[in-house]
Amino acid sequence: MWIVGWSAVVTAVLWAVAVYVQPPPLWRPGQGIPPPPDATAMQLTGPPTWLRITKISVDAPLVPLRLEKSGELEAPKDYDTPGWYADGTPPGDTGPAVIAGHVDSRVASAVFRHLEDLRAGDLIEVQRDGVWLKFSVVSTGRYPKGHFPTAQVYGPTPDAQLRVITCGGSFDRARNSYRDNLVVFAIMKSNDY
Amino acid sequence: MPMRRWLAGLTVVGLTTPLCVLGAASPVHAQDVGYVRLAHLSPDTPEVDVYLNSQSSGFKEQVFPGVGYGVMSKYLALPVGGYTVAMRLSGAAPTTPAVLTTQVSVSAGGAYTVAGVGRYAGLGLKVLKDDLTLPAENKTKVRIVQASVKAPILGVSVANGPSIAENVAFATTTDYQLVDPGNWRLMIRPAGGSGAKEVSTNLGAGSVYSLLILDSKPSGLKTELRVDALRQGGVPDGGVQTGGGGLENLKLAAMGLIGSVVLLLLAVGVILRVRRARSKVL
Repeated sequence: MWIVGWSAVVTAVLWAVAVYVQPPPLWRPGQGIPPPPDATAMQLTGPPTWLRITKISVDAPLVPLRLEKSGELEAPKDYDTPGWYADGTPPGDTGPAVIAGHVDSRVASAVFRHLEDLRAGDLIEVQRDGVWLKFSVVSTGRYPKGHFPTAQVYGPTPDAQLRVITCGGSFDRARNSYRDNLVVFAIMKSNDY
Repeated sequence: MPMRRWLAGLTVVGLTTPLCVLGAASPVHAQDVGYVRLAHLSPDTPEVDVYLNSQSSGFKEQVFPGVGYGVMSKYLALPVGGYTVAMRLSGAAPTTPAVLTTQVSVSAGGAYTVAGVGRYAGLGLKVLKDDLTLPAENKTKVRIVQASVKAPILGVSVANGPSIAENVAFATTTDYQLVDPGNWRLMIRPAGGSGAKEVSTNLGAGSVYSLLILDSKPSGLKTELRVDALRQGGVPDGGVQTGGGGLENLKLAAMGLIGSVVLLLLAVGVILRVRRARSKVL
């Protein structure tokens, strides 16, 4: 009988946790961000060519992405290759550079499977003109696609910033797409670090 | 006695189900840093040393030496919180009392210009709130920072085009105005009619600028178009379709497997009970 009793208690506790406890809060930074380097001083003019996020085993080339006729940013054609919004700010220039990649395909995980594991302070690296630019994650957010925070994600910035986007939340089978987007916000950090 | 097996089976199912219901969309602030820049906008004040300190511990004091009239620093990204800005005449020892001090409360995503404004006799430290948010309709936002005492009232307009601001007084800053993006010649027109100045500008769509107007030596005006915030390209509409649901399928498959195992255990339990009951009867 005691096995049954303990099992019931454990189940009750887990149900309570699921219902009443919020998901772990998406992380915030704990320390100051140093002033970004002067992007023009590096005289980078070429496109970004490679993305590396060591913590989540991302090490892949970047393909250019453009806006579709609908105005939406197109997704990369390959599930294992991330892309960057090529008509927008290139990573390292002042402004919001945008990188997007798949979280999964119809049957398997994809390049940004573990993007949700990034936390403030994690390192994202983008190669451009042979130089590795370093970005530090500032925060992350998950947003319903119907209420996408356009101004926050695509709005102008006073320094070189990065937004890394993939899908998240629950999967809507009727629409054959995820309900949310996960956005990681990062700021370029001094290459002295 | 069969009840025990049923309860155990239900418990297992109960244990696996909560793992699937966690998670609701949780938007957070884009960044928990704000931006502060410093400016010297007083035409007759000599160079100053500017000291930036945090009101919380662990922050290393930052000093900007020899800041002269017309200098506006780059934005510094700072953690949210309270800061103190102090000004001393350049070269004065840090132990001497500051000429001016002010507090800045930095909020997440906020941007501030802390400026010494006015004439030396009435010098003040003003905290300007800079609005870096995306301009409506992907237009451009421009404001005028009027630091010319020789042209104490002036107007700014697009050459042969709309006015941006009129009757802008020395030591004031206008609100941001929405203008069409493009390569524009701007006219700066001091009240009184003389000394007008033309300046070529490239105003990017969706970007934010402050136009500094300063006295030039020996005479005339000098302008500097400062980028407050920048972006490039069209604004994408909404998010990105970057998922095919494969992870959901994998999760469902795993749950199906667990469920099958549970049913199997229940079935085995029932069969064992039935056999035991039968053997007792015999």
